Amino acid sequence: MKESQGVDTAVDLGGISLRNPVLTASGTFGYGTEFAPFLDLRRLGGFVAKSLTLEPRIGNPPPRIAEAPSGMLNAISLENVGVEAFIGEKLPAIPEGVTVIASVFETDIDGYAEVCKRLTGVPRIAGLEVNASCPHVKSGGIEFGQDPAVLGRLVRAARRATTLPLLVKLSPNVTHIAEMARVCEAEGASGISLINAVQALEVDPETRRPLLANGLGGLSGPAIRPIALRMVWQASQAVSIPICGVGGIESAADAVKFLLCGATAIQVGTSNYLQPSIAGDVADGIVEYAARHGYPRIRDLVGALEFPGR
Amino acid sequence: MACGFGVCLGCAAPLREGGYALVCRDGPAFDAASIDWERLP
Repeated sequence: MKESQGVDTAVDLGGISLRNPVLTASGTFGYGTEFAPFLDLRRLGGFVAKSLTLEPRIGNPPPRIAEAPSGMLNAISLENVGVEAFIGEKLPAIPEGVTVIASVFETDIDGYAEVCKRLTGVPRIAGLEVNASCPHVKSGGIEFGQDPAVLGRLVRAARRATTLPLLVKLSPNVTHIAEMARVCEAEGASGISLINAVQALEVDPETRRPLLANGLGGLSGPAIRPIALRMVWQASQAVSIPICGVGGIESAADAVKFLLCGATAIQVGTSNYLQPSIAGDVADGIVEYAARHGYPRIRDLVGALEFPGR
Repeated sequence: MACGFGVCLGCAAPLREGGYALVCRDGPAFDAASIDWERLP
């Protein structure tokens, strides 16, 4: 493990104590054991597991993924082992000392509350992240995170269902992210994670069909980073609850950008596929940045962006 | 494939018995009888 060069790396994400600000994004990191050959998870602040539903889901038909410029499209549709198998089989296999945040998804609000309730009090689970957006799940029509009234009801129900720190992962597929952030704060969310994947489409002109079986999918990776940075910054201007920044992080420098824009912690997602050890390198690189720039505490970087007119 | 080691769940291969296997983790070679060829793109 790299020495921290005298830099205090600890952050508090809505009541979740993290040894450093680097997490990995839901859906990109399995259930915590798959990356063991590449990375000691204790080098990270923690990880967010694949979104869990009450019952196992088998996911969408293939093709589920497609190449996009500086990124990828996905329409996995939340294939997961279900909450019971996660608790019974996946959790016990995660090494001690690794901070686990469980992600929750369902197709209706009562379902979300039930999963939240089930996960509360389970040893090793430090917090919950409500997945309020899945750009390609057909049930329910639009994403929960696209309608402020629906989002409000969802967060309220989740808040009632658990005493754990409760993060809400926001959809970027909205006009005003600040409005969605405020809804979450008003309904008692401990923090917000943004952004999830951007609703997108890629087509094959030779077959005259979309590349994904589902048609639409979610765009992730470096292509969305400037969108994510903008939304994190806008949210940080609107709410006081902590923000976890996600979207196309490829390096420690990218992670620092999110901290400067107001994120207390960050998640590395798509980049894990290209280099499975990347999240550890990001954690080390943030320390090097802080030492080089004279910040004895990483948390003093949060919101340090000098924005014109502010 | 996006990840190639069983995490992204992108390389789903439809099975006759229902559900999907992952080509990267469970294959890449499969018993032909186990694959649902109708649902394979």
